[in-house]
Amino acid sequence: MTQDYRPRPRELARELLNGYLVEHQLQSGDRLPSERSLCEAWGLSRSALRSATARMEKDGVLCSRPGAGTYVAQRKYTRNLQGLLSLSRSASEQGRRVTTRLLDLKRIECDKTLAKRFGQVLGYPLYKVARLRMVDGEPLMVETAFLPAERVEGLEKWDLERGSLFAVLEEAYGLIPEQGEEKVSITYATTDEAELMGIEEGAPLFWIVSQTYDQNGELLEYCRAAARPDRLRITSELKRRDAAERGGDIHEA
Amino acid sequence: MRHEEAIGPNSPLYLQLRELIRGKIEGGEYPPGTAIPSVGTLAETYGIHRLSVRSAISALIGEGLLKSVQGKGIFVVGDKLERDLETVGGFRQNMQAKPESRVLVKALRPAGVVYGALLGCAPGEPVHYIKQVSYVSGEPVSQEETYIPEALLPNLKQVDLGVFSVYEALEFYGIRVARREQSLEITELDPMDARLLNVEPGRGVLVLSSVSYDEEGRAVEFTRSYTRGDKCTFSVRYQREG
Repeated sequence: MTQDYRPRPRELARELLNGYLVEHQLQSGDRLPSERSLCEAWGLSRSALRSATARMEKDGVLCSRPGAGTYVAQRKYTRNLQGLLSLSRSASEQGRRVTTRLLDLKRIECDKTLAKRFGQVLGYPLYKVARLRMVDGEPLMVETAFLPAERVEGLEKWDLERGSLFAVLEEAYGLIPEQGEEKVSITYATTDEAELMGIEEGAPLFWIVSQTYDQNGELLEYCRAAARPDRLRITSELKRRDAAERGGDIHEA
Repeated sequence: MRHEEAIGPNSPLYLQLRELIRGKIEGGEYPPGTAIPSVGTLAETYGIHRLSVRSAISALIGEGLLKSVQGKGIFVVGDKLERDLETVGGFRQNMQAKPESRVLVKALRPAGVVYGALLGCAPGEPVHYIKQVSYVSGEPVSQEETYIPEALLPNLKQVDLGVFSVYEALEFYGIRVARREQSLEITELDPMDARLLNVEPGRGVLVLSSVSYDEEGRAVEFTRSYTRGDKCTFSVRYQREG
């Protein structure tokens, strides 16, 4: 099965471009040399280089401005799912600022899907909190959270545009987000999402559905978010748990 | 548990053959991940009945040293870690069924600047490059590219990656992955790669990039996979720290 491997010219071009970014330590906003000089230096055809840059724009690595050349794109905001940091806190750790626009905050009654999620009957009261989250002033995601109303009565009193929802839950209600699960897939922008996030309708987006449980293991928040993939990268670290560590994890009775 | 038995000239032939094969596995003549000679070949080589060959082999399959794969042959299984080792964090791929993978490319290439930086080796150092496509019930669901420094796994060439995963191959040769850093992004594929995955142009695919590290913190493998968003989701569990 071992064979001579020759990457296609466009793949070679993409690797050379990525290598160029690494070697020259280019930062977001830096301009790439002209197409012509890169083609000459690497012996590539224009079409190979163009399809490589087009692809790297889709990857969110490069962006081009018509007539002005190709630039290194704005660094994506990295959301690490370990440790349950709120968006605002993890962004500030990366030196970025999260701002929030409250789109909707109201009490609703569970429909069939939500009732099933919360293990409750139809009509069980929930708070619905829809927010547009922005990083450094640029729209990142539209997030819609659902919380059991009986546990967060008076949620509308709090300023959810300035503080983090998790912080309010903890400080005002003594509810500590303890663990959760997040499912990531792809969706395509609806008219509303497109308008809110300044993108084209039908553009691919992250679709992130998460469930967060409190310190008593009860479902505290069910959340659905549509996020721009050119602005977001989701990371996680897998670790092997050693036998010793595992032993230490057993709760004492 | 293997019971030590003295094998002598008077031992049954299947026992003699069993120990002969065991010796060749332990001595490295049949390396992990590769197929041993067929039943017919072994029967002919040693002039014994196929039934004896079969019982020798099935005993070793029972011990977990060999693995029989329908239509492909009998393969040597290396030392494996406990399969169900607990892990924390990381993305899990949720698919309807276990995918089957087909290897498109398995070759050596220089690490280059990009993969050299990811794997901590010089750009000129050779790395294994593997490109695979995974299918679930005949439908392509993901495309995967893997890079491993050749120096870490010189025997990879011989391992049948249609039978064993790259991670199994690493384990067979004593490389234990302790940690894996993963990141999930979305991109749109070139028309050619889109066709390979049967994805319409303009549709997004999930890109999972991961670097695995061994216990010494050495990068041992980089993988990037492109997965169809309509066929699979990724999920991750998280926990408050401290």
